[in-house]
Amino acid sequence: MTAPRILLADDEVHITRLVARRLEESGHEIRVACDGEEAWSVIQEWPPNLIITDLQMPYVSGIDLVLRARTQPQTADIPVIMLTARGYVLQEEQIKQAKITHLLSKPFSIRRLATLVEELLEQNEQARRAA
Amino acid sequence: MSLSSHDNHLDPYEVVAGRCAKLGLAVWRCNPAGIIISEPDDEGLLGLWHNASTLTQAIARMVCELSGQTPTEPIQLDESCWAIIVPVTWRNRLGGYIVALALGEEFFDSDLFNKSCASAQLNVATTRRCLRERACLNETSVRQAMRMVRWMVDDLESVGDLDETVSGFTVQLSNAYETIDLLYALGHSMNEPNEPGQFITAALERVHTAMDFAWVGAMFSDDAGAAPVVHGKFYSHGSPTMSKQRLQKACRGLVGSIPTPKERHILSDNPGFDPDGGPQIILQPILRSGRLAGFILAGEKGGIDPQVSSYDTHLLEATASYIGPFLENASLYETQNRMFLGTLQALTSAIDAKDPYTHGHSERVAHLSAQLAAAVGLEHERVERIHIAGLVHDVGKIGVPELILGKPGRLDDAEMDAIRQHPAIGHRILQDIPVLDDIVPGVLHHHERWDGDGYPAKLAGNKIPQIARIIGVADTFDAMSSNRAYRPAMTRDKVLAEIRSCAGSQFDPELVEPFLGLDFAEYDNMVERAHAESENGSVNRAA
Repeated sequence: MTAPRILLADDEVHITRLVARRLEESGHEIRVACDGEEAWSVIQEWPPNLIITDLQMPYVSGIDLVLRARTQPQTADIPVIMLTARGYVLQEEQIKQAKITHLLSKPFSIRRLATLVEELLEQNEQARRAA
Repeated sequence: MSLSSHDNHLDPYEVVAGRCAKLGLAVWRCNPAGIIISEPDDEGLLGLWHNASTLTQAIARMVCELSGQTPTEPIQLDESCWAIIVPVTWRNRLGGYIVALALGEEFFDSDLFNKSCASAQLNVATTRRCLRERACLNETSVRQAMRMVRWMVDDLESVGDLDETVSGFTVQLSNAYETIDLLYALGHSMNEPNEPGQFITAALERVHTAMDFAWVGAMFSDDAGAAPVVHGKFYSHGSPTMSKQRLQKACRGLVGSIPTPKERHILSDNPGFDPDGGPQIILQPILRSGRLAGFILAGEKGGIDPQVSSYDTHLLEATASYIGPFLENASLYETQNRMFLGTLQALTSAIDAKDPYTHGHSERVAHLSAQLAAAVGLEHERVERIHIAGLVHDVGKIGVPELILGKPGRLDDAEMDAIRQHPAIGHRILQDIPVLDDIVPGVLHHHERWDGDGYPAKLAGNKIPQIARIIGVADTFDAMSSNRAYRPAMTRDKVLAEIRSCAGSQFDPELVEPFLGLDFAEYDNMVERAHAESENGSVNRAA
C-alpha cells in the first residue's frame, strides 16, 4: 500500500515544518503549501487523503480552499483538519458546509494532531474497504 | 555517519563521495581508529580493485598512523598515488575520516598498482584501462583537490550543525506547544463545574498524552485536612506493566519512603516496581496552601530517550500546580455549600418546629422532590436545586400564627386564608436572595393545582413551574402520610391511591406514575428518625 498523502497548508513556516516533520516520521507522504492558491494546485495534481489547513492564509482562505476541494470527486469526502487562531470562532454553518472534520486551535499539541491524523486515516481506509 | 537525527537530510559522507567521484576521486570512509566502514560504490572491475586488500590495508594503515592528527597535505602512497585525508567532526568530536584516492599517469608503473591488482586477482592491463580516465592528476592538482574536499566537508559540517540546531528548536517548539496546550486544557477544566475526581482524571489523561510515560498517577494524602475531598484516593492513567492495585501499592510504598516529600524526586532505584530497580519514576509533590496534599507520579518512560527530561518535569510541575488550587477551591466550595445547606436546614427546622405535626416535613419533602426529579430524568444539578426548593418550600409559615398552624379540628375561612398566605410570604422572604432565583417559583407555586384550582395564582397545567409541580406531589404525600392536628396519618396504600386518583386534577399526570414508582425506604427512615426525635423532645406526635 502506498503511503497516505497529506496536504499541509499554512503560511506559518514553523508550523508546517513542525507538523511535516512529525507526520513524516509516521511514514506519511507530505506536501506543504504556503498559501491557499498553492494548496489548490497541489490538490489538483496530487489529490491527498487528508488535508490539514490553516484558516487564515493569503490569497485563498482555508475555508474557501476546502469548499473548492469538495467540488473535486477525489477530495469531496476526505477528512479535513482546520487550524485556527485560539479564540477564533468559525460559524457552525461554515463547518457543516465545508465538512470540516476537526478544528484545532493554535498552538495545538502536535502529539494530539498526530494521533488524530492516524485515527482519521484509519477511518478513511475502513470506509474505503467497506465501499 | 549521519549528521542529522532523521533521514531526510544530507549525509555529508554521501555528498562528498558523490562529488569526489565526479572529480575522478574514489572515496573511503574510516572511523577514528582507521577501520574502513565504507568503500566507493563503484561496481564491476573498479569495485573489485577498490576492495583489493593491498590497497585497503594501505589506506587503513595510513589513517591509523595519523593517530588523531589532521594532515595538511595529500599523503603520497606510491608513485603518482595520493591520499587526501580529511577529518569529519560531529558535535566537536572527531567522527572519522574521508579518504579520497587521487591518481596520476605514472601510477600504473607503481608497485602498489601491481600488488593491488595481484591481491584482487585482477588483470593488470584491463584494470589499467578502467582506471586510465581517472589517473589524470599531478601534485599541484591533488593539492587543489584536497582544498576543495576540505571546503566541502567544512560546509557540510556547518549545514549539519545548523540542521541540528533547527531540529533542536523544532523539538523545543513542539514541547512548548504541548505545554501550552496542556495549560490551556487544565485552565479550561478549572472553570468547569467538575467533580474533583473528574478534574484529576482529565488532567492525568492530558499530561499522559503529552509525555512518553507508560503511566501517570496521582496519590493523595490520607489526611482530609491536607487533601480535602480526595483524601486517600489514587488515580492513574495509561498502561502500566502491573495491575492498577499493584501500581497503587507500589506508589504508596514509594511515597512513604521519601525523606523530603515537598520536593520533586526522580527515583532510579524502585524495587517496589521492578526487582531490578526498574526505570526512572518522577515524584512531583502537589501542594495546597503550602501543605503536602499528595503526589503526581510518572513511570516507565518510553520514546527515543528513556531518561527523564526537564520537559517531563515541567509538565508534571505545571499539572501539580493546577491540582493544588483546584483542591483548595473544591474544599472552599464544599464548605460554603455545607454552610448554605446547614443554614437552610436550620431555618426550615425552626419553621417545622412551630408546628409539632410537621417535624422533619421540609427535609422529607426535599428528599422526595429530589427523588422524583431524578426519576423523571432531570440533570444532577437541577435535582440538587429542587432538593433545596423542597427544603425551603414552607419558609412562609414563619409568618403564619402558631395557633392557626397547630389548631386541631377544622379551620374557619379567615384561618384558612392566613394559612394560604404562606407561599406568598415565602416568596417575599426569598425573592431578594439572588442565588435562590430558580428556587423561589417552587416556593410560590407549590400549592397550585394542575386543573387551575390551587393558589395563590390559580395557574394550571404547564403554566405551573415544573419545580412547583414536583414539590406539590411530594408535599401532599408527606402531609397525608403524617398525623395532623385535624386527622391521623393515612396508610401508605391509601396515600398512593389518593395520589393516583388526583393525577390530572391536582397533580401533573406525567409526575404521578414516576412518583408511585419511587422507593420510599429512605423516606420511612426519615419518618422514624423524626418520630424518635419528637419522643425524645417535648413534642409528642402521637398525642
